[in-house]
Amino acid sequence: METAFIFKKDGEYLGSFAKNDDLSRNYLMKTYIKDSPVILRHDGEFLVQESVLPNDPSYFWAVIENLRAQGFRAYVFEGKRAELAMLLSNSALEKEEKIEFFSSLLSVPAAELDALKDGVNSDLADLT
Amino acid sequence: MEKFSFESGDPKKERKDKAVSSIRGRFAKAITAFLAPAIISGTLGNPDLIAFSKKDVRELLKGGPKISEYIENSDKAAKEGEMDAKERKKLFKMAKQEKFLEKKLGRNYLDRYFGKAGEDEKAREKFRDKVVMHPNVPKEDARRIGIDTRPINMVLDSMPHSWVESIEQIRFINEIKEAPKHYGLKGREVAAQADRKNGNISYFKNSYNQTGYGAVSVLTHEMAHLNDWVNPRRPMPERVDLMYRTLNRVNSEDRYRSGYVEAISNKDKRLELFIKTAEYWAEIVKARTVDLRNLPIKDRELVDDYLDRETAQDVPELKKPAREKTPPLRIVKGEY
Repeated sequence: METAFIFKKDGEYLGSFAKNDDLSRNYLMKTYIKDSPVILRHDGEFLVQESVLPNDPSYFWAVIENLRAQGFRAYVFEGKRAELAMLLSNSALEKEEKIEFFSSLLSVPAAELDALKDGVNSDLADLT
Repeated sequence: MEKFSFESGDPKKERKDKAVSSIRGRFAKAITAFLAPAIISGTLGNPDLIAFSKKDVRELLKGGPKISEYIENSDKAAKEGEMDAKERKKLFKMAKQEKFLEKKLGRNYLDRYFGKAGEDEKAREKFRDKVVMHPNVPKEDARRIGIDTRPINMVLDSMPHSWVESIEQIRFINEIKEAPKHYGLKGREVAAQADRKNGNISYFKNSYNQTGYGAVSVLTHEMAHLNDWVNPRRPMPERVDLMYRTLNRVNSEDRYRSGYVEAISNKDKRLELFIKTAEYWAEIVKARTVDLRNLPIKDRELVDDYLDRETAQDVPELKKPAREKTPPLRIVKGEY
């Protein structure tokens, strides 16, 4: 299940939401998604902007694209990558450090995730 | 008076710096392990029997309407054609990639959507002159529908010669164009129209286009479509390699998560994969401009590789003349 982690342009971490969450209750939706989010689709040679309602399977993705268009950074991860992202987002790291590690996390191979998570976990434990 | 010492740091800060440095090192190590390029394994030595002369090989690889026939021919040529080792390696790699694409997408879809197999020398020659003809970007027309042309011009200035010239015209149409409703959905509005045959891109009056992000996204996305594997100006090994590498990224766990691509769904899974592959290429090119920090290294390398190849073809003394005059504005009537 995909989870989105949202940052402001300056790197401030705002929060996360998962694909199967009730997004209508999410703080980020209430604050930043004013109208129905839209998703773009090709319809022949036309690029069509389509309003998406909360019960649509594309709703999660429309929200992500809407936030990106507003200048927010939206990282979407699933599985172990999402677990590691959650660990980093809840840590006492500075906002620049969080952004740096989230960007790096995009390119870590799946086979390295377990070892990386254990390592990061132990490093973060030293901070508490 | 307190004596200054470099050693009397804040222990809490020191502990934090140490942890951050350690995490940074762990990420670097994990990513470096990944950077060895993926190479298709297996090479052919010289065949025992040369069945096709150099002239036959040229004939075999002349191309035609169907890539499936080209796949068979390039396989034969790689195995039994007369050529030097370097050429054989390149051809062998292409033949393996083609077979992989055929297996994943099916012969019919590949033949239907890959475009004509073979290279078009004429199309390639078009980009070897010394002048880049920028499409006209009529500022006043754009302003009327709330679009700022500066980011559009910046994108055009940053793209390779051949990419810029793949766009014939950019138009801004002062009209809100409603698209037919599908499945009871409301609020379907046309943001843009891209005629890939003629290279015309038309923006319509629309809230998405009125943001700099939206206007640039539309342009880079459509420009990428005009410069994908269907374009016959690219040599065949490049066309096949681009599609092969893009298809391998689409379902990878560490792919770029474009809402546009992720929302694509089709009952026919092979067709879905094909559509997603075409749109994934357009989306990573877009993200290279508007969402770079969210683009995984592998996607960035793929886009840069293809942009760099074409930038390298640009002649050094390239001239960029003033943009062309606006052609008379007309609304393109499209068929849904």
